[in-house]
Amino acid sequence: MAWTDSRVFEAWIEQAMEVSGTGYTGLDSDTVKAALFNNSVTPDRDAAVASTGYNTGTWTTGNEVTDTNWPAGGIALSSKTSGSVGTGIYGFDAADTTHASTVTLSNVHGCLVFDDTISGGTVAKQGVSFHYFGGAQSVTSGTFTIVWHSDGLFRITV
Amino acid sequence: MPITNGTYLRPEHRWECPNCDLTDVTHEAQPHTRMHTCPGLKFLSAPMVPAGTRCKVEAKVREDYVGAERVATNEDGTPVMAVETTRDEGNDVAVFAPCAQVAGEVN
Repeated sequence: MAWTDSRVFEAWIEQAMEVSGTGYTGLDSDTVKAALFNNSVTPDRDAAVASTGYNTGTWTTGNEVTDTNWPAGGIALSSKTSGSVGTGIYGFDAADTTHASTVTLSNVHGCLVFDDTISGGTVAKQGVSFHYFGGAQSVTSGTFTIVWHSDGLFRITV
Repeated sequence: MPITNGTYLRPEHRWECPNCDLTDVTHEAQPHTRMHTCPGLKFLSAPMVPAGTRCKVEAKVREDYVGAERVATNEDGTPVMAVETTRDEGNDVAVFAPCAQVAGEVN
């Protein structure tokens, strides 16, 4: 049904609680990447864990939007922060994500944020969250920047 | 014989905004974008452009409903999905990724 909104995978919350044999060391220390996708994906926060990883389920390279300077597999987040952002609120954030040189990208509708350090156990390159940009985005010989919300990539309220 | 005296060239990038009066200078060597809160775009976070660039910078209103996520809005509360810079030879897009929310429950 294409993009509708932005969510954290339920399977990610499970993984964070049950970590075993995945190679996961924490969002703040693992390599976390953002890969761009077109509107052929059908994001599902309740997808089976095996379908939440990069190049699994709906997140296949066939639906990915790439360029030489925004390659398949995405770009790593930098300056990540993880922790309390207020009373009863956990937040995960990062610096705005951009690329070197210029890119030409067409029909970008959203991104998959995944943990590139996770190599197995659950699913390699396990998805953390997906973010819908609200419409098609295209760049010609220019710069594409993901400006993360002032509240971060995601928040958990307890 | 090793060179003991040399000149360290500090990179300098001059920025301006076509929608407000702000100008700035940065010294970052890596590719970067100088963002600012722009009164000309209803206080959206918008990129500045290299000084002297012939371009227009416009906000793109969100083209779909807002779900459970938190989205960027301008001072009128209108959801904005991106700011686009259109130049003679191409364009740049700074897309505003929403914040996904997870709510816990205790019974």
